[in-house]
Amino acid sequence: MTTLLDAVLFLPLIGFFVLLLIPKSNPSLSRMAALVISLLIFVISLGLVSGVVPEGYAFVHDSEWISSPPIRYHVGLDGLSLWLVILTTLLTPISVLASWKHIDHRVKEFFAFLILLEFGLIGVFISLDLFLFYVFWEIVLVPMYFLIGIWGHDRRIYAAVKFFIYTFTGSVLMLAAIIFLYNRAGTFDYTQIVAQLQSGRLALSSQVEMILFLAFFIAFAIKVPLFPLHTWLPDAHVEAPTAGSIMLASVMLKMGTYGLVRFCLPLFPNAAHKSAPWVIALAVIGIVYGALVALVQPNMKKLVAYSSVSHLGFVVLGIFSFTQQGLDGAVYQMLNHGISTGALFLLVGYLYERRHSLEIAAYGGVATPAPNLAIVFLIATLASVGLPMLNNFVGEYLVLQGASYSNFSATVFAAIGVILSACYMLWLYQRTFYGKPSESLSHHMPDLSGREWAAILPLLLLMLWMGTYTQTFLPSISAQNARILDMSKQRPAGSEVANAR
Amino acid sequence: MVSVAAGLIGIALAAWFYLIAPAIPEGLARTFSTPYRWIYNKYFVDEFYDSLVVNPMVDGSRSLLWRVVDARGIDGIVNGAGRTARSVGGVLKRMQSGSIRSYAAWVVLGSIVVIVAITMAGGGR
Amino acid sequence: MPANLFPTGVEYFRILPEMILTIAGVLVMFLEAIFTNDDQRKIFGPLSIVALLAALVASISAAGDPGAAFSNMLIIDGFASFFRVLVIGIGVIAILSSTEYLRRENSPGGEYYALILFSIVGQCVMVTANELIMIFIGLEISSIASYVLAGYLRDDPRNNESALKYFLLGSFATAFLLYGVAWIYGLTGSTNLDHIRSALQTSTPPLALAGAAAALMFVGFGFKISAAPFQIWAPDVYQGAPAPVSGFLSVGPKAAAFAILLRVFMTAFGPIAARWEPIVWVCALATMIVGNFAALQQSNIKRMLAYSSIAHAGYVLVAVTAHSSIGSAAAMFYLAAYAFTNLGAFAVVTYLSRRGERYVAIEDFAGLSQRQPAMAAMLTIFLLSLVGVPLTAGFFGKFYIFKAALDANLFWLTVLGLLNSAVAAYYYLRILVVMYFKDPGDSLDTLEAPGIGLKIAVYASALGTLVLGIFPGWVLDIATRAALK
Repeated sequence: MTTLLDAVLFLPLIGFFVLLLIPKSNPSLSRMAALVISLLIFVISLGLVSGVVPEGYAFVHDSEWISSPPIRYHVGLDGLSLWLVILTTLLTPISVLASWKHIDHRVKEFFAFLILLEFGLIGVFISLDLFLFYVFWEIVLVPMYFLIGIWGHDRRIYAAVKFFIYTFTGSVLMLAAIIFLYNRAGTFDYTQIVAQLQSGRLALSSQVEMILFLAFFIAFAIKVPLFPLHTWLPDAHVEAPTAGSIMLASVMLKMGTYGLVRFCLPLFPNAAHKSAPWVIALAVIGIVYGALVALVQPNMKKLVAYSSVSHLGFVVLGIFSFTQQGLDGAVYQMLNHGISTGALFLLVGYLYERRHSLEIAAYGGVATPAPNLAIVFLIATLASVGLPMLNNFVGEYLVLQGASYSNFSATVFAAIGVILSACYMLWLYQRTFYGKPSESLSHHMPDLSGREWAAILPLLLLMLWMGTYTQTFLPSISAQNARILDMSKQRPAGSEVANAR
Repeated sequence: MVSVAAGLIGIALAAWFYLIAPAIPEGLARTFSTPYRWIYNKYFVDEFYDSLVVNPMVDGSRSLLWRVVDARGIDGIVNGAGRTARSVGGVLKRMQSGSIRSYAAWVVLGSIVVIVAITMAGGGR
Repeated sequence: MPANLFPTGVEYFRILPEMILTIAGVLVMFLEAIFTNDDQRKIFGPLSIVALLAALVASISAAGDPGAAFSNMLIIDGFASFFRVLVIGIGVIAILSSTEYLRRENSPGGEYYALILFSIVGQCVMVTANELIMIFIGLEISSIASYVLAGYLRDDPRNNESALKYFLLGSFATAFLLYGVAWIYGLTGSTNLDHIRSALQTSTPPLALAGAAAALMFVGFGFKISAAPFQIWAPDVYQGAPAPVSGFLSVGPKAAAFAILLRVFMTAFGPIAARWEPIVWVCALATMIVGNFAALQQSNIKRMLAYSSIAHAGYVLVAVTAHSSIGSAAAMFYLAAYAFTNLGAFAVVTYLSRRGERYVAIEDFAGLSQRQPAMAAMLTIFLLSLVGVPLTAGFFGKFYIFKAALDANLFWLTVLGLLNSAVAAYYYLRILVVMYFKDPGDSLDTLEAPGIGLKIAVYASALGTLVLGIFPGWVLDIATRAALK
């Protein structure tokens, strides 16, 4: 019995094949088709919003894939994954629009890979079977690798290979942990494993639990990225094409944080609590370090890349605070960061299309010839900084409040990170947009075109909406977070109790 | 009342200094040159912040955090791992000499190791 | 026990595939002497394929009626049938990709096909053997045919070098095997695997000497599967032999050799497992490390695939170390998955290398995605399967092997094995980089469209790789049921 969720998952895959069939000689048809397909998927995915219930999963589809070992196609949606899926389906057509003029060679394959990426990403967020989750986790690597390597900038090969091998190495350890967990629990099914852990049928010794936690944690930490496993990100972002950067920053990085909330906390609660001190330390270091290094970057995309390291430190801080507000803030920040950083990369892409440089030094005084672009960039900047009434404020505030309950000194340092984000973003804005533009610049700096407006406007509106009317988004997230926190309560540490297979 | 008076006096002073008798502010500036400089430069607050906070932070981030810790330190470990793997590969590659007699010698060597190991092994993993 | 002088009808039925292939091979050699016309010689390829398909049908039907043949010297059980079907299937794809090679080198010799058929006969005998002497006979039939195949183009010095090295080192290693067989016979009084097992269980023969005999046999088998420290022949031989032959050697004889390794060590030497498991553990790790790390620095695609082949043998050895029924099933599945993947990869290499195998450097693949997108896409599928990306057969194979290893509590081997996979990703990705991220060089100017035989081989392999990756259930079920206990 196919559900709406199955449609949202498999339409991108069908779209991938459709796009491959379009003849190479007709690039505009490829662009059109990609836009239509991605918009269609987005509209359909909106239908998922109403179906999500506070208890349990919606749109569940649970059928057998492989009989032995028992691996099932088990997908479902809840408050945690719903908005991440919608984030994915929203950002794909925006990425398509961003690449309209930008990509001029091998157009068909570009959009095909972009849509295939969407397929993998959606699959990651809705999988409720550990094996299926792993499959989608790895599938995401392939189109991203090609997107960076073929259509990227000068050092794209180095960046693409580094990205692939770095993340792949983390993932294989997770595979070992998944297999081990299966051997103990007798199933790959996430819901069943959680039930077994809750009822006590499955109990892991603290040593085993810590090792499994670390195996999953490392794979996710690389993706987040958490200091010090972050060095693949600046290279990947700088060398990727605009659409690649948008999808990477907005959605792919959330795979890591989603994994932490979905798997690390409920499956290994004792280990998670025990590790919280040093994880929070790393998160806070990441916040401050990311911000400081971002401050001195001469390359715009690298600056935004390091700012992502900083912002996602907040998310990890919120997750490991083990409070309702902290977790709510963290999940909400995942979405906020997706929107605001997506917008920033989109706008940097616009600048690049005009001036063909990513160096801040090549710009100055852009506000004069392109005032609309300046205003839009300012809104995105302020959103990223955390101005109240724009989206990031809500998330950061909740995270800081939640963190203050568990670890006040960490909160203080994290708050410094907020100040620093204002520093680097506003300084970037000043150097780029204010001042007097040079001759060559004012002649080649047209203001926003219709297509560019169409791509950025939804993001701007969302920044405002998510910052003011959070009722639309937070309740479903909160409800699911409450359940996850409940599952993540520390259990009395024990030796192996009844271990049924 | 007092504030209105202060404001009016201020306007009057400014009008006298700058409209009626411009030589007075110049004279005052020359006479009280040091306080004048301090007030004119906003008590050097900005420069103070710059040298104490901003410059160390920016320079420190650029030279230490970015160039040393991030690029050379952390990334160095990452790239170093790759380099190490490749040099191990290089060593292994060079062990293939192409000479069939050395290959046969490897087979004999290997078989001695295997035979001794299996014969001696008394059990246990 | 008096041997039956005349085998019964059922026994003929059980060795029907070998009979068909032998007759076909002889027929091809005979016709080759008679047919001098080029048009007539075109029949050899299709004739071989027909024979292989007939043998395939015979194998599948024989699988339905398991039992022994020829006084228990051969045994047709699920395990043997699985491998028989596998090696015959490998033969079909190998011949299809060879048609391109032979046409290009202007050498439509029937001997080539006859040799492949004979090699497959040897492999079939190997996998159905229940008895050490039969194993040896099958091994020798297969090996001698392989030695000649490696040196097929007698004017090409690379082929000659490859064949000579293979022959000398192979015979050397087989001598160890034969010595081990002789020792076991001396110790237990029999060469039948089941009898040896019962003899060793009673512990009358001194187990240390039995262990030594097992070690000698392991040397012989280890050579054939290119396990460290006996892998040293593989890079030179695979690089020098014709590309389709390298492809065939890397999957067919290797699968058969693993089959007999599993059978001998799990059946006959089962009782002394505690002795050989540690050394197999070390061999598995060493093989993976040697294969994966040495491949990082290779610039010749055939040599790189040779090292990759060594590494994959290491993964299967992990399954052997597990010494369990699930380990055996995992090894079987992996060998099948690997067969599709590697045959496909070597077929594409055959296609690209062109006349005289001039273009075998990795740099020669530059920009292939723009000139021949279909072939590049197929090679991408094979490379991703070798890396172990999900939805390909290679991923599922690795998953199943490491699952068997974790079941047997081989934690360190699992972690190190998986990390090895991550290292391996680098050299497979390098080919993807060259194909997709670089522009076509001059070397691609002489590239023509692929021939029909090669295209079928490549597409069939790709289809197999994807089907086994997305729906591995049915092959996995067969393997699990047929596995050795």
